[in-house]
Amino acid sequence: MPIRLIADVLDEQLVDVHGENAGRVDGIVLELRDGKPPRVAYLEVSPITLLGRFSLRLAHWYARHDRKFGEGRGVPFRVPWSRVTREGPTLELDFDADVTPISALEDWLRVKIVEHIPFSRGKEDETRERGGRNGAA
Amino acid sequence: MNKIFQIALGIVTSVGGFLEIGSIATAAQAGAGFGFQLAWSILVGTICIAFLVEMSGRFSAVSKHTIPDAMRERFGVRFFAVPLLVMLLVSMLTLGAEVGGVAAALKLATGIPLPVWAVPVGLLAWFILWRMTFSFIENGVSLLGLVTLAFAVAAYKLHPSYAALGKGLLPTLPTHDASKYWFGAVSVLGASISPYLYYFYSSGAIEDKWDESYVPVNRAIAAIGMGFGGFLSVAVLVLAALIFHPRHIDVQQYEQLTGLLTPVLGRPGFWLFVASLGIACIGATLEISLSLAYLVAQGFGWRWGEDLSPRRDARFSLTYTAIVAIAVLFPLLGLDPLKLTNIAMALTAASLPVGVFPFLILMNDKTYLGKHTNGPIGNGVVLVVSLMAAVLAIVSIPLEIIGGG
Amino acid sequence: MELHEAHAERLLGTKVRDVNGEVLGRLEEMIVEVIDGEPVVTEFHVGPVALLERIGGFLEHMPYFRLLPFPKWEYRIPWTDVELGEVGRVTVKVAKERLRRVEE
Repeated sequence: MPIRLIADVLDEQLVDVHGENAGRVDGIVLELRDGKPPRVAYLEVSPITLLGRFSLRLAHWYARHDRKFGEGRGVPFRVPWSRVTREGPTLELDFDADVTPISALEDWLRVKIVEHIPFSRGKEDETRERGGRNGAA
Repeated sequence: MNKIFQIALGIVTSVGGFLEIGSIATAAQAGAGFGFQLAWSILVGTICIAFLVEMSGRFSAVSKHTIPDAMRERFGVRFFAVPLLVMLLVSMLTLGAEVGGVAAALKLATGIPLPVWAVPVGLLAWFILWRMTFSFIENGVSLLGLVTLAFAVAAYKLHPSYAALGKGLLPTLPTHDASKYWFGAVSVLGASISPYLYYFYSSGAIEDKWDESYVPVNRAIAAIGMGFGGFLSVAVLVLAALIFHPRHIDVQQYEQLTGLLTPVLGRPGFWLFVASLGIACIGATLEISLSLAYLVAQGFGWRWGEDLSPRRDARFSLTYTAIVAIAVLFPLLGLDPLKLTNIAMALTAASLPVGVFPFLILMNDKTYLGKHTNGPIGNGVVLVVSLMAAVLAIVSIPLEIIGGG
Repeated sequence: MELHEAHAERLLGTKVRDVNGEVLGRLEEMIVEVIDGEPVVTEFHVGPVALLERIGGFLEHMPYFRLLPFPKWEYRIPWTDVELGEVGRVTVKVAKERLRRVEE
C-alpha cells in the first residue's frame, strides 16, 4: 500500500515502545542513489531539523549551542525507517525514547529545574484509579 | 461514572465556568451603553461557541487527536506556526486580564492595591496547575463558579421587560454612537468565541479518555452548558441595561461592576460580585494557561497531561509556569484589567478566522472523523459568524481608536 | 547535508521546473512504496491539486469553496523523470508536455 510521505509521515506524532510521546517527525532523509529511486532512510526528530524548515541560519545557531551539552549533541537525531511502524493515529518507535537524545531537553529540565520545585511528584497516585493518561495520543 | 451523571456534571461545570472578566465586562459595557440592543451579539456568540465546543469534543473523541495535534500533522509546522503565534499573543493578553480580574476581586475585598495581588494570584494559579489534577480544575473550580448564578437571580429580581429583551435578541442598527456599538458587538463576540475555550475542551476530551460513545454526551454538554452560560452573560447585560443605562453610566473602571449586584442584593451583592469575579477569573486563568501549554506541547509532540506529575512532563509543566509568570506582569505593572480586556476581546474577534478556518477543514476530513464530519449547519454557522466577527473587528477597532475609545 | 541525501521537508513547497526551465508548480507530495523490502519514493506530485490531496477532504462537505479560482490540476511525475539537486532544487528531466497531468 503506497504511503504519502508528507501527509502520512512528516509532522506525525511519535510514541516510543512504552507508549510515551517521543516528539514528532520533524524531517525525513532521502538517500539518493544513481539509477535507483530515492530511498527513505531516516526520520529526524530534532529542534535543529524543525528550525531548519524556517531558517537554516537559525538551525545552525541552535546546533552550535546544543553541541555544548555533550557528545552526540548538536546534530539531529535520526531514526532508521525500519524502527518505525504505524499504530493508529501515531507512528511507533521500537525503542525507549528516554535513552536517546529525543528526551535530552526534557531530562535536563527535569533534573536541573523541576525536581528542585516542591510537589513535582505524586499526581499519578491520585489518578491511578481513573486510569489517567500519560500524554500518548 | 455513568453518562447521565457526566452530562449533568458537564453542563453544571460549563455554566459555572462560562463567565470570566471578558464576558462580564463586555456584557456590562454593552448593556450600559445600549440597553438591551446588543443582546443579539451574546446570542450569536453563544450559538457559535456552542457549535465550536461540540465540534472540538467530537473531533477529539472520534479521532483521538487534539486540535493542535491535528493541525500540525495535517498542515505542517510552517502553517501551524501562524495560529500558534496568533493564539499565544492574543490569549496572553486575555490571560493577563484574567489574572488582573482575580487581583481586582481581592482589591475590592481588602482595599489592598491591585498590583500587590498579582504575584500571589499567579502563585495560586501555578500551584493549582502544578499540584492538582485535571478533574479538580475542570470540575472543582467550575462548580465554585456557580456563584455567578447570582447575576441571573439579580436580573430576575429586577423584572426586566422580556418583550424588550426579546427585541434585543434580534440584530438592529445603532441609533447613536455607531462605532461604539459595533465595537461593543465585536468585544462581546470576542469574549464569547475565545479559541482557548474550544482548544481546552479538545484536550480535556483526551484527558478524560473520551471515545466515540461520548459524541451524544458531548452534544448535550455543549448545547445545554454553553446555552445556560450564555444566559448568564445576558443576565449581566440585563443588569447593566436596567441599572447603568438609565443613568448614562459608562463602565470604564472595574470597580463600577460591583454596581451590577449591590442595588438589587444589597451588601451581600457586593460579596457575591467579588466571589463571582474572583472565582470566574481564576477558573479562566487555569483554563487559558493549560490551553496554551497544551497548544505548545501538542504542537511539538512533547509529553503532556495535567494528570501527570511535573517531573514526568517537564517541558509541559514549565511551559504553563512561564505562561503564568508572563501573565502576572500585566497587573503587576499596573495595567488596568478592564482596558486590557477590551483590547484582548477585540483582537480575539479580529483573529478568529486564523484558528477557526483550519479547524473547520479538519472537522470536514473523513480521515479523522469518518461518519462524524460536520453538517452544513455547523459549517455555515461557524464560518459566517467568525468571518462576520473578523470583518466587524477590522472595521470597528480603528474607528474606536480614532473616536478616543 | 551530504551530497547523497535530500531532506523531504525542505523539498516540500519548492518550485519544480521542467527541462526547459518552465515552472510546473510546487512539490506537495511524495509517494513511497516498499519495493524489494526497501521504502522508496516512486512518484512526485506537483501542483495545487497535490496540496488538496492532503487537506482537501473538506471540499466534499463545503463544495462552495470550489467556486474560488484556483488551478485544478497536478502533475504526477515518476522518480525516473526527477532530479533532486542541492537544497531546494527539484528539476524534471523532460518537458512538461510529456508529463502526466491530472485534472481535478
